[in-house]
Amino acid sequence: MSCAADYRVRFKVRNNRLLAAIEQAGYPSLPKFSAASGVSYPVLVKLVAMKQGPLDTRGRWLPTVLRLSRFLGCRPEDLFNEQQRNAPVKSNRREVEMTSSQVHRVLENNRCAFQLAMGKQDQADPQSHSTDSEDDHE
Amino acid sequence: MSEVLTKNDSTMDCVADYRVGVEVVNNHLLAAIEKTGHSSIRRFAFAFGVNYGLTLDLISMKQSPLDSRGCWRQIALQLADVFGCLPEDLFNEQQMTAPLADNRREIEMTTAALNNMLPEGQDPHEIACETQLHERIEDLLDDIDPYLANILRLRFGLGDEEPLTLEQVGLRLNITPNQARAFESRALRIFRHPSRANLLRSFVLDE
Repeated sequence: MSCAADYRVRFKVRNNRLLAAIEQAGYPSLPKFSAASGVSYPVLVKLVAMKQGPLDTRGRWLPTVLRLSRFLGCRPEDLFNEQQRNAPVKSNRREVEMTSSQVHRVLENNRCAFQLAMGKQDQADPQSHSTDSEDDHE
Repeated sequence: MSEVLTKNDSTMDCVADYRVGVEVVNNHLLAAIEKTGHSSIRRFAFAFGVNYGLTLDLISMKQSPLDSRGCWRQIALQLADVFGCLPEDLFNEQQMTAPLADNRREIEMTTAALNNMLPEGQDPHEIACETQLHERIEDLLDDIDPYLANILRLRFGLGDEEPLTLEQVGLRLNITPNQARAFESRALRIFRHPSRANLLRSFVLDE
């Protein structure tokens, strides 16, 4: 029992470009946005979770994606980066076992921190955690 | 329209590509629950007669296992009793003394930051699929007869153990190798039923 890692950390990755655009348009939730835009909710969820690519087999934008971008007043390219366009994932979740110090490194070094788990209110700048190349959390 | 595009262009350039939901939970407790053969906390709680909500609070570290006088709460003692260990084995110092307001948070991340979080040389998609496949198999095993599920776990090394031969499985369960083979066939037949096989098919086809 004592050799097991103290924490298990679950990650769920979603498309922030799309989520941020929806939120900026004034929709706090995906169901509300789906109802307003007429985009199918299951498809919207899959696009946000990156389980469905925005391109068809011939590399053209899906009609749903064009509808989405028109509704949001932006280009489809703004909603999906290169990786999100070409590599839909089977699952956008993963679990990692971590020691206390590793949790600190993942969360605190990235300035988003164990504080997140600790429920502290001071929000860090989310952009600033992209430079810590020494993070090796396994 | 072009103005809108230009405006959104500049806004979008500042937006991180990914939003990562992070949830931290007590691994000692979860690992102990999984060792009992349950991947679902609800099923575990039901099987051992422990309070589901209180167990969840301990796993998510929202509740300290100690009361205001520093004594172990009933639920912590009950769980330690179920696992046959000391309550101290289930919680580290921090988990004992500092319950969390919330164990979840969302972080916005660039592609580079996301890649930095992953173990070196590992493909995030591959890891995600492995995790999901493991979960899917555990869910299916939970649904079949526990004895047959145990045979499959031993035979294919699901969980932490190495795969065993039919002889080794027989020795472990006090049955003959032929009986072990028969049980294995029966379990695999259940797994091959389309209602279950379809849940695993996508993992095989994409290999």
